[in-house]
Amino acid sequence: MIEVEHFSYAYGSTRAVDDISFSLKTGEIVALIGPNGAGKSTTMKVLTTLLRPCAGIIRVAGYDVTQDAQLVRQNLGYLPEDNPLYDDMIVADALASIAQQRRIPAAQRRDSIDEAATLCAITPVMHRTIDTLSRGYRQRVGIAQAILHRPNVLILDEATTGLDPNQIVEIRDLILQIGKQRTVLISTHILQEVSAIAKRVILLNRGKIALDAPLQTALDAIETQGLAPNIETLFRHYTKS
Amino acid sequence: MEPIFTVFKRDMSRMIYSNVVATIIILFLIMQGALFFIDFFKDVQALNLRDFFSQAPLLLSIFCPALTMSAISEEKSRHTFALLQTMPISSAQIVIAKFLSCLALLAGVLVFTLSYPITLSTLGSLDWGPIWGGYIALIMLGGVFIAIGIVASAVTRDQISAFLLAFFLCFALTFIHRLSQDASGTTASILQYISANAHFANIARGVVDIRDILYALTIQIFALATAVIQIESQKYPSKSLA
Repeated sequence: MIEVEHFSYAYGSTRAVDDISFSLKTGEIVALIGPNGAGKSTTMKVLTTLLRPCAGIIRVAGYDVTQDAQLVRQNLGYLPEDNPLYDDMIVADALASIAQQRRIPAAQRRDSIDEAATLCAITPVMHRTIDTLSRGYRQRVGIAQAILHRPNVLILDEATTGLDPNQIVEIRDLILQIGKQRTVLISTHILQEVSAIAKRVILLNRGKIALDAPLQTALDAIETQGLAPNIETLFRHYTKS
Repeated sequence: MEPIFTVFKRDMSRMIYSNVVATIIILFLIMQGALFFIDFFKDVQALNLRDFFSQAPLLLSIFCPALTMSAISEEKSRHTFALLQTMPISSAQIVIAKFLSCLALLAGVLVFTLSYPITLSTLGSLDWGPIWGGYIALIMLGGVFIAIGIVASAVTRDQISAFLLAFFLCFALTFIHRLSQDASGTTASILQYISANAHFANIARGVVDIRDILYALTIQIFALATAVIQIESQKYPSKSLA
């Protein structure tokens, strides 16, 4: 569903991403982690067609992000880190507008909105203005926006940041549920989220892939080196200078 | 067309329900009305809207940037622009939708000013030809200023900067001919041609010249293309890898 081959990106003379390759299959929930400036956001922006790659081939749902950007967008759901929402709109109107923008046929829009609202448990707030919602509900509306058109691929950037523990668990369960039928790439700084959600982890460090392995395999590997088999130790092991 | 219509509809709705936009519209109408009626009773026998149309470029050079200042820069600051860019809509469609929504709102606001010629027509026989010509000119000039405002909104990240840049450009475009008022030669001709006021004055008199229409369309297309290029350029890396 996602194929990245020898992808590189530079901001001026600074290489943000340096010749990375990986692929994600349908039904996989993969965590993309790494320290600040490792290239996670750049990678996500290229996958979502917000940036064009300097080098390499990137396909999402079989479409090239450079050649077929519009087709990539039709098959992709994206929740950016800052969860952009039209604050002055009523939730139902905002979703209807996004559904139209996503070119969901008029006859199917009602069903799509209802399905996303039910899945994200936002039905009770459908007639409230977005700027009156709690952070947890705002995040749910952001995810509902991203899955409205039933995309094959879902990219979530810091989906649980700033939420309270209860909200984190709720969003985590939601992502697990969504991930049963779709490819989900999730970027997060909260390492507990990685172990709770993802089966596989891709760790970027200084623009390169430092680790790409099933989480359990990676934990077993560091344990054999005498290190504690937890995600924090794994992160520090692969990112320390 | 549907992607354009969706953004158009959302932007229209946003502007119609925005307190800031409502305030801007009310201020525009009050200023326009005050300027029109301030001299109205001095020369009430002259049944025309020349004063109204002659004041319009200055007022539009303030009003149009105020309308467009939030078109793209506000979406950027709220990060909804990134969301929009991940939807199946091209940058050109986004820019066209934003241009059309502002132009439609301007046209709606100008409908309120029809009360002036209607008032005049109650006082005697009014020649409606120049009036309609003037309104066509206002829409065209508004289109030019809105297109410039969209560019300013695309290149800036906040509304105030977008407004100031657009106002400066619109003001300069309106009054640049004054630099060459007493001059002659190629430079003076170029300044006269670039000036929106010279073209606007022809149409406002009821003289619809294809060159004036071409001028307005050229500036609009050039400005909107610049906005599209600016948005697209943000997607490309600043330097290719060796």
